[in-house]
Amino acid sequence: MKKFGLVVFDSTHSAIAAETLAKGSGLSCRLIGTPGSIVAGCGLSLRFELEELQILKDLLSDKNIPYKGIYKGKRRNLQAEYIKIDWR
Amino acid sequence: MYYFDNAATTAIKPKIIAEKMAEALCSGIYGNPSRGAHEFSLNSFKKVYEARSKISEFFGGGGPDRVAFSYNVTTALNLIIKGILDPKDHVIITSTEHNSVLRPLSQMAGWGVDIDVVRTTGDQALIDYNQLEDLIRPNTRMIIANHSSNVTGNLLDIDRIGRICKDCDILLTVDAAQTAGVIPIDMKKSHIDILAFTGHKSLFGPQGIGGVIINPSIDIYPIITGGTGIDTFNTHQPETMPTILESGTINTHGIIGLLAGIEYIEERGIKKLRDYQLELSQRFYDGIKDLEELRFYGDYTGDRTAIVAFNIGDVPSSDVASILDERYKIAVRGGAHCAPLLHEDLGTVEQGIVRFSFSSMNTKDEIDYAIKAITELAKMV
Repeated sequence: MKKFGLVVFDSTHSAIAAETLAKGSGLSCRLIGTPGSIVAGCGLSLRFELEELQILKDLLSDKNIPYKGIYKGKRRNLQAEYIKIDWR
Repeated sequence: MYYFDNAATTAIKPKIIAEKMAEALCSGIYGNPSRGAHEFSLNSFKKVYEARSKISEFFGGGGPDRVAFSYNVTTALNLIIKGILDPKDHVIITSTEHNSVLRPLSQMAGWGVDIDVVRTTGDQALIDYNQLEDLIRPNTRMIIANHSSNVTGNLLDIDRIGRICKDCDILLTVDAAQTAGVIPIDMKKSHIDILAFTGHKSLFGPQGIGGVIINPSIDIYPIITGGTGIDTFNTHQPETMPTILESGTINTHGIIGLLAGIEYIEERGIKKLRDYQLELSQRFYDGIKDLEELRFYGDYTGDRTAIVAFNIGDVPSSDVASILDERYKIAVRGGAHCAPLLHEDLGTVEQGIVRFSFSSMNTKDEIDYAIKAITELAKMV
């Protein structure tokens, strides 16, 4: 079972800004397509290590990068589940 | 890296396209077309005219002056939908349409345009052409037909729709985003009044160039107006094609790339390129079609483009696309594909669809690698 965090954004530009910021600060993260179970349609989300949740939230807040929500995800093989842990 | 997202754009182009564009940029001889009569301006003007002529000939259009350039097919469709339709007009579309048609039409619905949609049926996403005919009313002005679905790869029977339109005196607009450059199109033969195309997919041009071909005798209102290099003291937009639809400086270098793409296709032979693409997509489909965990979308027995669309069990398609990217370095599209009505028909609004789309730049070895990847993922469900 693999656990991870996921930030979901309203705009793809916010997602790319967040990834650039997080990677620039040495965080381990990656842009992925937003799972349809969270938001149907297209879009990008930022997957990150849960241990770095607070650092990432502080970075997003400092730079005023808006997001829709933060989720905790767990994956077993191809199956993934998401629980919302933070709202904006 | 394995690129199977050619329905979004052909990331891998024949080298001649970049060479021709670089040559044009480095030459220092291409000025602003239709702005002045010096040699620099005329060089561009002549090159753009050459491209218009080639495009008209390639699609069976009504001559070079009927070809107007745009950024992409979406802009072209906006120019058509908003420039031709009037309040109280009736339009028929199918549920395979992309948002490039649906969203402009939604805006026009707010101005009083009536819209009817022919829905697809089953996982094969088939269209009932009799139903399309039954929807025709006295005020039906236009049928907009997606030549090939960007989700399933199914082709619409454009010849049949063209005959219906001709018999009923209805304008036929064809969205050739997925087919221009891979399926031969003859506007005259198929009774197509308006053809919208993009340059960056199967025509192998760069991103940022597309266009529309409009048959003579169709009145269009320009939704974008501005400098045209002619008729400066007229406060209104000149009414002649293609100037009426081309305000501001056009993308000459993009057009040179697009022209190189069409010349490449003609040199290789469109049929040969298409046969090879279909051979690749059939090889992929045959390699995975018996996996029990997979559910396919589209009609794999009929005429189609090189798309294979499916889901693995109930796994979100965006998750499958992410895993293919991270674990196998395979680029495909997951999620929704800007075709909301078709996702409704197929029941895939939440799950989306995994779409593999091939081009003639792919190889059989790449296909075999993709078959192996999907077979491994199917075992993990």
